[in-house]
Amino acid sequence: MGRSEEPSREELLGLVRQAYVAGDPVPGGLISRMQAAAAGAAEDSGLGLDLELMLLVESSGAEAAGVRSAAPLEARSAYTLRFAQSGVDVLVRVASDTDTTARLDGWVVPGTPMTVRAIRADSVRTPIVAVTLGASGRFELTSLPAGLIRLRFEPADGSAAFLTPTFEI
Amino acid sequence: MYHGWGMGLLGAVTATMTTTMTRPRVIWPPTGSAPIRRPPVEEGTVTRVRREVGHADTPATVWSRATADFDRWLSGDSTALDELVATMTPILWQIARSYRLTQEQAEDVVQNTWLTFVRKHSSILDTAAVGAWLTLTTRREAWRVAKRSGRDVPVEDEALESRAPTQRSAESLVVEGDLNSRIWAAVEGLPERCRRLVRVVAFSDRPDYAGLAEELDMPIGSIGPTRGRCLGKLRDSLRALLDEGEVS
Repeated sequence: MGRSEEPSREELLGLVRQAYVAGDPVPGGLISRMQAAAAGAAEDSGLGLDLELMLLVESSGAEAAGVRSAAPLEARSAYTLRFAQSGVDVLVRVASDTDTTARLDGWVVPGTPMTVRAIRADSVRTPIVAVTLGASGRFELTSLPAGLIRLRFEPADGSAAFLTPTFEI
Repeated sequence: MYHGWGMGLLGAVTATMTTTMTRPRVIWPPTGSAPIRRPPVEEGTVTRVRREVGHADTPATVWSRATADFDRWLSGDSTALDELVATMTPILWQIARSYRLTQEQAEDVVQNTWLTFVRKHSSILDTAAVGAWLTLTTRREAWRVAKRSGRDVPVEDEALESRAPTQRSAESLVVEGDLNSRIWAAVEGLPERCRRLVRVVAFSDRPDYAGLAEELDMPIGSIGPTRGRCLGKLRDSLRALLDEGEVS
């Protein structure tokens, strides 16, 4: 910090952080205790390793070479997938919504409140969008960038999440 | 109705099962993402400290690391939870301790945050908000514990001028760095309301003003100006401290 000039707000807050990190450091072992607590809670609620991996049980594609340019956009590459695991059934219909993006209409049976995330399955592995769904079990995700994705279903009651295999949109 | 659409679609899927299957391309299992069972965590050992503990990185940097960790956890990498905990725990510790909790109380608060996170993570739709969510959860719980145990110092006025540092004497910090000890003394010397506000703000990327206003019993519109005044005071006392220590 220069004597002649006032520290900026950010510099000042940085100094405060530095002082507290030095003066009131995290107690030894705290991080590993917290890791154990979180891992234990995750295991209790069936997250982590016990994540339910859904199986693709059915799929159908409507794409044929000659159809691609002539058919209306909507019909060009619409297809459906059905995933199942542990009594949960998910039906997904994927269709183009623009040249570079897709929309996805889904139906989860039985329908319970849950969060649905579309997760990019390439090296980025970033959730691109999430929606919550209610007892109807219906959801829609729009403007998904083309690529490989997986869907993750997280029941609101905290029970084990379901993850689909990777598929292309 | 919608139900009919669904049933019809299910039927259609079955009926067309035998047709061409050029699309979709299903890649399974995904390469390089096989879940690995975590070895049991031994008590008292630091298992995954890939960063310096107690880093003084900017909250924005830490929060974006937390988002990346959370993203990886959601995509099925169960070890990423350990990393998220290692990333955010030092920050949450500082947040909890801003409420003058004992070490034991602060540890309980931080642990509660992690248990709540595991239980409720599906409510965090935007993964970029995970740092803010964890920070806010910690603050609420810390505030609750502080009030319950009578550690919530009255903040009606700023009459607590130049209170003495209590948690740790400035002298004991000299060996660790003269500048740090002076800054510590300057912050601890601020009125209680200022002290907490400055410490919470320093460890938050985007502090939520509504929550701070409630905790500090101030109108939301005064948080910004108050923060400005508090930092002004800090600047002044820091300047005084620095002047003391220098021959000029």
